[in-house]
Amino acid sequence: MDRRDFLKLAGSCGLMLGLDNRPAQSQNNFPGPFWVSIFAEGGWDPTCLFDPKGQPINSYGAGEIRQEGVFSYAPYKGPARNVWNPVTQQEDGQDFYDRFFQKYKNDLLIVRGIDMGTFSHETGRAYALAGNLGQSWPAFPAMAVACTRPDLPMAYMSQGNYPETGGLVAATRIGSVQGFITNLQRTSEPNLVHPGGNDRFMNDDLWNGIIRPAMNARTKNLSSSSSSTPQSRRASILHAVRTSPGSLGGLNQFLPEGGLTDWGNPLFAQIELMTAAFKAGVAGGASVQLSSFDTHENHDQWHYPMCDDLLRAIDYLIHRLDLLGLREQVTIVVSSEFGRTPLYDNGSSGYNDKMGKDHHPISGMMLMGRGVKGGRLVGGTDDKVLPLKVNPATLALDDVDGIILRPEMIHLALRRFAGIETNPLLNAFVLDAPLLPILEGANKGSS
Amino acid sequence: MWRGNAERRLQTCSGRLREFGQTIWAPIVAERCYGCHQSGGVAQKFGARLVFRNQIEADSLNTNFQNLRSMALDPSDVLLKKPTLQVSHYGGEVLAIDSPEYVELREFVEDSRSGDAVDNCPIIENQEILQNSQAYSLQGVLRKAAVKLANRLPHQAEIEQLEKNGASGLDSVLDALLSEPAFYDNLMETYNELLGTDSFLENLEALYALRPENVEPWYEPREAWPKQEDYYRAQRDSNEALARSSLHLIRYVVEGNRSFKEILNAPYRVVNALAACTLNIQDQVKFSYPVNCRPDEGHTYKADEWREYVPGDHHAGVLTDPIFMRRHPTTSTNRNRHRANAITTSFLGMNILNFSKSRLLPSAASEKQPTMTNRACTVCHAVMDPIAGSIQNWNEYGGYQNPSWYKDMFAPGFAGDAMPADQTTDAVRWLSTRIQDDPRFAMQTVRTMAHMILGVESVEVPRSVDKDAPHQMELYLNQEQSFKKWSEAFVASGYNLKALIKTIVKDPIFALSNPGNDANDLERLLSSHYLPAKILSPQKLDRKILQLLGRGWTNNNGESLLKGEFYHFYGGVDSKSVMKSPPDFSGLMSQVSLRMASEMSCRVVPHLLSQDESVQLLEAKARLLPLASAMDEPHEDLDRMKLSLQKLRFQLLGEEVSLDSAEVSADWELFQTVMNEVKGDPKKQILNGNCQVKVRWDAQPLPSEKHLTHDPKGIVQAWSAVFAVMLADQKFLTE
Repeated sequence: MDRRDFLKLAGSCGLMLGLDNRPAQSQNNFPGPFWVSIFAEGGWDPTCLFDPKGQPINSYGAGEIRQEGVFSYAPYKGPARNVWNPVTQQEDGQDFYDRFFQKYKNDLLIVRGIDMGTFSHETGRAYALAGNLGQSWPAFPAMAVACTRPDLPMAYMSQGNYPETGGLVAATRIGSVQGFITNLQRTSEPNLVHPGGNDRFMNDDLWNGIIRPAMNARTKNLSSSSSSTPQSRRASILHAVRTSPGSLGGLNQFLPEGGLTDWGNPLFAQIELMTAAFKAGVAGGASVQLSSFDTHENHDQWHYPMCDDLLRAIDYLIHRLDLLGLREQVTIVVSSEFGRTPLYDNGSSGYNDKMGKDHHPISGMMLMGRGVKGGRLVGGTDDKVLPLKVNPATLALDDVDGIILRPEMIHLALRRFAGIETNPLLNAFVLDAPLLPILEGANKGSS
Repeated sequence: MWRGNAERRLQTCSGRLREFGQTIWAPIVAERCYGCHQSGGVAQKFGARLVFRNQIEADSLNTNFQNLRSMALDPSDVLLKKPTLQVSHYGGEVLAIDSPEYVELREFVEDSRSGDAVDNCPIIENQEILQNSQAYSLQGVLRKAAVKLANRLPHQAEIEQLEKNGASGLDSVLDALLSEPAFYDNLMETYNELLGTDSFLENLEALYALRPENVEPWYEPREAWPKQEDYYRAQRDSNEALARSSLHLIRYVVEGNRSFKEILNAPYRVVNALAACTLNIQDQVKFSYPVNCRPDEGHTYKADEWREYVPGDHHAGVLTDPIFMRRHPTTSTNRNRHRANAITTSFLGMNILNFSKSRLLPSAASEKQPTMTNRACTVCHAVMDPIAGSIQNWNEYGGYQNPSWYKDMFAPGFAGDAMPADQTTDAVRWLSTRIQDDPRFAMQTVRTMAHMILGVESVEVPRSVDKDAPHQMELYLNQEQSFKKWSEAFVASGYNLKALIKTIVKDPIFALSNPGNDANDLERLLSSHYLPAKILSPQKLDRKILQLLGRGWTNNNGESLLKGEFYHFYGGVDSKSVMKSPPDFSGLMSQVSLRMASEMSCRVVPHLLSQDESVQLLEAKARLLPLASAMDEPHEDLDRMKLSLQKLRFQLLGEEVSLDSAEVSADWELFQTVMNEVKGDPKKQILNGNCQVKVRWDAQPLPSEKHLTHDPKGIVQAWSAVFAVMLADQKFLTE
């Protein structure tokens, strides 16, 4: 058999690169939508950020609470510090609270008083990221991209400790961003000995023209086995990623010209990589996290800087999306496992004996971007940080006909907006919740 | 739904058990009752009559069927009245009286009163169940065992031994495999997935995790070392010796054929010279050579010699290993709960956090001690807090402290029993004895080994009847039956882990190769379960490449690429935030595998076909391409050619296929296509520089007349292509 016959055979079986039955896509043109989850790992304290209360719950007085648009927010009570601002490329000695709410008061949707129903980190993480209290379901960005473009080479990027995808799509785990970029260059063309060089391991014609198609033919054969087995399912995903039209090598050109921001806030480099992957059309969803919100001791000293870092990261994400022309295509959800204990000692103190705060099941979420009508505040909490009821039709506070907000309600609205609510891929992950008009497209009846 | 006698679909014992599992146990009892009513749970603590056998224990579903059935016979209708709160129930209302679940339970009660007693279900052997499935030949079983346990192919002598003695020859081969370093690497990596202590390997974290006064930086100062890299190596190896001491204890116990129980209550730690120097105990440990804890002495330590060291009167194996303790830290509010759950998850297969699906009411936050009074909290805390209290002697740094414990928690104990007052100074040793004698310890060890050897993720009782997978319950029952059998063999062997592994390898389940065309639905399901095609971890793939090809995939410094630069890229766990290998290939993992296939086939195949006669190369050639050469015309002896392809496919992929199979034909077509392409283009007949053979496999000089730089007949590149496709094959990359 000569090469022409071999290729003809492979081609007739739909085995060639990019010639299978998936929608035709030219290289690097996946335009979105994109889905981003930012997770405040450890359990944030909404009263230190977007659900301020004042003393005795907090160390600040009620008179210090700030206001921008519809949002009241806490004053920064952490220690003074100099922080690198990647947007201005300068050290910054001022906290970011005021600037954040001034800048995004018309873009933000804040949901207060979400009942997480747990004190457990593990349970709360799964509930916040996937909408299910109990088993760990795939994180929402993984679900969304699995239902749309699971074949993208880095379809779902996961940094942090919730890489669950339920087998719907492979998660690309990100450890060190710098190491990731270096390795990306080394593997984007597997037959090339050194990035930028000319040396090949195998003859390039043989590699691209015969060997790769033979590899793809094999994965195709394994995946099309008559019975569904783990081997065939695994082969199906391997075949999809190996025949994906997206080029990993194209990602580099969308990273910052001055290199990665690999100091200060660890989310900065993650954001740079994630947005470059979106722009390169090789990823559709990402989950990142900022750790160390679990402040059982010295709460104010550590928690406010963490919240400040979180706001700066969101700001930098928007900045990168603006630079790359992607802002209109990205939906951002910011969440945490739960909140933190509001009161101790029969309500006389807001802190434990180590000036820390423990776990409290009431939390909140922040949403921005595509599908999010900004400048809105939904839900609320009382003076003990217990949730207030919300009218499911109007989202106004309603103690009579209202319901308590839960994560599955936000997730159902996200799924409806993403158009994946009834996708058969999610049959094992059906949400039992009323559909609330939280996002665009979510006012078409209830499920 | 639960059907009465007349409507019952299946009258057999397993049919009734299946129906009970799917209609009563999984959707109702496991969801709403089991958390509190399990043995050792809060209901037992408060004197409830209904106590279920722990789900991880053998025969739990059948036993709990009988338990619930007995309760259903109670004429006071307690089984219906308690959950609906028609009579007093500590757990409150867990079923509404008009709910479908209540209707199911009521039908179960009525049926129990009218039906016959149900005896234990007979055991159906796996051999009988899997009679239509394809099984490996004895040689296939040997290959699978060698690859799984020691990440290598069988030696010729082992094959001959099996050919001579049949199945009875397997035992001694397994003994050899279970003595190899790669087996212990696999064992330690498996237990690290539970313990997570390898998270301290990076950044010298183990050295910083202990109290400074307990760490002797014997390797300082750097300037004292003749070579700077030796200083860093000593520092790194010292850190590793401390970080992995729990894992080395497990290895030590298994290597010595000791009772596996000893991992929980060994009164000693194991240390090598580096750990001894770092803990400043070198004078208290007897090594086979003089240990000098001084930098200027150079490398005299032997990192692989481990000895016992008794750190005091209260040590209890892994449970009080300081790094294990630091991996699961505690605070004044956590109060050892994190540690308690790590212990039960790792050694009893019981993740306490999964007990309750019920929602914590916001008002719990305002209760003074919700962990003792709020139903949503007590379901977990009644089990967790007594264990946490039994770790009371160990502080946040993993050091011993005098007993003192909180009064606003459930009192120290285990599985419903209070810890005797005279045990408070030695509480963890008391706890360890209770855990190792608990039947769940043996069963969890079985599950862990099944995961290591078969890649199996244990299934729980299916929650609902899936029309597309009607045999899910049989799968669960089969798994439980197999695990029970293996567990009994493990206990009967005196908790010898190697005996357990040999039992699993000799089970028909291990010999399963694929479901085959005649397999029924249950067999297909069992095949999916027991042949999970789990992606090899970077470490395992690294060892497999080295052992099968005879050469590792390394950078120019000889360092493993999969354990180094590509480790996280290829889905390696960090034992911190990432504890599990990825279930599927990502685009990046695929790219890494392609690069490996390209580079390794380029670097290995020309050597195999060259006149290089390095010993290791000849061994690799005998394993992989004994019949091939760079100059023979393959068409002249087609049978030999196809035999070579068949053997290579078996060796690299574990596939047992015939000479006229589609697989061998595809390999042959690929071979010919590449060969013809090269023959027809003189430019392609020059091997790329990285693929040329100019030095021997063992890096010694190779005479120029033996160099292999050209491929005039295309055979070298044709074989390279076949290798590349197989190395990138999913079956090479998975278990």
